[in-house]
Amino acid sequence: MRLSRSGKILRNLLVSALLAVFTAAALGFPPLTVRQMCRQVGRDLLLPDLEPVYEISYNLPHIGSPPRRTFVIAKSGPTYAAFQFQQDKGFYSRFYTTLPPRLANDHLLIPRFGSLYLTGDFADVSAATAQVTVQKTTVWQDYMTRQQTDIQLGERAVYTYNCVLENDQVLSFCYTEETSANNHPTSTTLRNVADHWYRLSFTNIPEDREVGLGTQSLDWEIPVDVTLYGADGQVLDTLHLTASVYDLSWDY
Amino acid sequence: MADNFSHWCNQVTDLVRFAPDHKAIAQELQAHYEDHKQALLDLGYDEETAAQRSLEAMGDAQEVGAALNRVHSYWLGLLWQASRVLVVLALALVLVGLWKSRDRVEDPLLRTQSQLAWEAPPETAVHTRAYNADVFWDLLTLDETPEGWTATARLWVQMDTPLGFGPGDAVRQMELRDDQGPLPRLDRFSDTANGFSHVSPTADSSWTNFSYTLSLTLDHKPAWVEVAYPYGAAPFALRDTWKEGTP
Repeated sequence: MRLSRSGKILRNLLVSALLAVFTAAALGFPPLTVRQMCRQVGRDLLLPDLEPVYEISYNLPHIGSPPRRTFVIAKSGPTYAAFQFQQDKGFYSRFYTTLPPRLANDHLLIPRFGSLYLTGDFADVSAATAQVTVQKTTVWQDYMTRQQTDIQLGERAVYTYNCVLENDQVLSFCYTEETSANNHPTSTTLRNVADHWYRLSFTNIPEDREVGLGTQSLDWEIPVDVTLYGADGQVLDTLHLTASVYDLSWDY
Repeated sequence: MADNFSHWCNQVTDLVRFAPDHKAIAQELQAHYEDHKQALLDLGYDEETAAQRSLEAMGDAQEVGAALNRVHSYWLGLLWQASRVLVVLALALVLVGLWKSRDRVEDPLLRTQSQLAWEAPPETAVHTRAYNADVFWDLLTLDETPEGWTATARLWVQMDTPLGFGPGDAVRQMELRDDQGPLPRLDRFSDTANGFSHVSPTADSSWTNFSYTLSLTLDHKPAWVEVAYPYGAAPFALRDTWKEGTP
């Protein structure tokens, strides 16, 4: 059958649309906007009407085309969700490596790009401080039974940060300055301390496993006390929260 | 005489605005002209007369050109060209998409396989309706060991639509507790006492039907185990007790 020119146009449009749908499906229907990211994540997290409350995009230093990451805090009912997408060659895809989706009701505390982000109803808050207490911690574990056998605690440090009011639902506390000196093992920035102060060691290691089984990073919850102040300086609330060592070490 | 036809043909095609069609129009006119001329030659006309008569029979160049311009619409022609470019671009997009998703090229096959192999939850499973999914929870086995108790349980999630990656992220945020207290959350792997040795996604990559098997390690015999998702506008908790016949 020979198609007329109108028929050929219709056929070509149909083929193009099918190919576009196929490509989108192959790429996992990549979102184009933050709202679309929220819709996609909300569907998988069983959260209706997940609405963005804060977003920040960040270009990673990289040779060639730098991947751009977008960190999103979104809300559904009383629940806040934090997740990350990475843009590479024009397509956004969910980025789990340094931040699997995190959920919390009311107060979600998450370190990202050098700041601690805290969610909640902060309409009456005009200032806040975050006090982070870190302590050298080595957990000893029996290699065979996986039972914890001992905890060694060492040097302790307390960091206090003032907040930036991002909006009436998000506060941020900047804990880093991007200098190369901060990456040195002796640096005492919070990120570096999180990297080097928390360790998991093993006892009862079988002789054939002694090679390559050294001390490992320990995922540990670090206490973070946040004090919220009202307009006239009175204390509105004190929140006793935690931040994970993993999130602090991989906050990008 | 051939020059006369070429001149006539050029006059006709010059009147057709959609230039990409000029070549095809010229070829068609040439075919008509040659057929007519051959017929006259077969009737015994000499070459020059046959060519002249054939050219006269083709008609007035202005009229033929105007008629062909109406048939070969300029805008329809442009649209047709644009649609061809669109197909080429879409094909290029497919190649880019396949290249970028090359690591997941088996994904649709695995999803379909899991979807087809999925076993529906038994009637004994407890059920609740989440925002966009049906969730089922069933305690399967309970065995006494020298160290304590091991138990297995299974979670089924049936999503309403096949769009998205599935409920894996939600499942990993679910909380477990039994009658003795809280157990580790499903994203905090713990194979110590009162933890779980593994969460086995029996169907974590599927279209709408997903299931996960949990192996619990406990230092006590639990009366019940609850899985809870305390998030969003439709939080839920599913509690199942051990069936009759378990130790």
